[in-house]
Amino acid sequence: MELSPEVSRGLQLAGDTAHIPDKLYTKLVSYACDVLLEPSQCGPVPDAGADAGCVKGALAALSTLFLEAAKHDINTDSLSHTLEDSKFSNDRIEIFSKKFLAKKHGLRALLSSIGNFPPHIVDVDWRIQHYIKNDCLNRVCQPLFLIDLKTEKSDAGEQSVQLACNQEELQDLVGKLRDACKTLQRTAQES
Amino acid sequence: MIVALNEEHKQHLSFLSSVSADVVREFCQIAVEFMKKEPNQKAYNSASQKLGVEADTVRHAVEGLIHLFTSLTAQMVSEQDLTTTLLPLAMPEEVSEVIKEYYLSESAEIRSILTHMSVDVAHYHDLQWRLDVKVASRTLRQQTDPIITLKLKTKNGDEIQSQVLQTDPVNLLHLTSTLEDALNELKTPHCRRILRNL
Repeated sequence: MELSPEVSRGLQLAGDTAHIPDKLYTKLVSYACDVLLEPSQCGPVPDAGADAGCVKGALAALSTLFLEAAKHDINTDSLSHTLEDSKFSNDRIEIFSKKFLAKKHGLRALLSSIGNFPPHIVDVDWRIQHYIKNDCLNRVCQPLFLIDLKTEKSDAGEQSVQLACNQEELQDLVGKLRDACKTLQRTAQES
Repeated sequence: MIVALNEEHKQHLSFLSSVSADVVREFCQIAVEFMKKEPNQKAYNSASQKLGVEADTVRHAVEGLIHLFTSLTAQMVSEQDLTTTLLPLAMPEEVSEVIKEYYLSESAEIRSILTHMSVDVAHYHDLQWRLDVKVASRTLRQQTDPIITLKLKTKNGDEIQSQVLQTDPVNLLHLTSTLEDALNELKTPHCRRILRNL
């Protein structure tokens, strides 16, 4: 994990009790992580009367460290090393590591959702209609399945893909999906 | 059920009584292809030249046959009722036999064309899938995320569209079981009663 000079400077500020007092440090660590996961839930940046420039630099560096640590999935020892290099006290290292371990899963899920990938299917809705007749045919009388695939995409939000199936088409679709499920389960058992 | 033919329709079809069964067979073929693909102007012209009649007469006869086939199919007319329907046209027996033969062999396909011709949404056509494991990305290293990539083809009329989607194992199992539920719902007494009685 490599950190840029700006981030290293910011971390040194964050570790320095003269610039960032202990109480403010705890608040900043929480804020730096929460602002990544739940930006809408976070209020204004805590500053507790400290120098605004220092707070800004420290906060940016802490957020970057959370992201980089999650990106490389680094262990607590390496994390402690990095923080020790920036002159963090043991208490401050402990506070950061605890927050990181608690939120690592969420941060990695967030990072995993960034990037270019096809719409991800997350749910499906269906309804059955009995197709009775139309303007050309007096009697159709077939069941018709209307399927709505709910998908998510990192930059486009939720979208849905709609399609209709008659009974044979749905049997074909389900058959192919079952094949995929079986292959997946076999692969999971083998590996 | 018998289909009542109007006077104009009868007049258009009456031309078929004056030609041989082979010509009627060819006309039926042109009519069926018209419904499956598109009108073939060349076939009209060559038939009119061969028979020495006006192109319009040929066109009316073919369109008359198309109207006859679609009306018969729409009402699901049986073979017996077809004979009764054709009676007022006083066609030679071999001509009506040819029409009957075409109607019986093509009605299933005409039904499917007519089913899709009305208000219709994109239908499922094909699904291809692939299993991958995502191992790293620019934003996240050291990951092992199984990904199922799906290529879904849908058909609207003659137009086939394909789109690429993906999902994860948990959602794939959920998707499969939810759609299985939909299929199984058809076997419930409620669905069976509606399908049987309506």
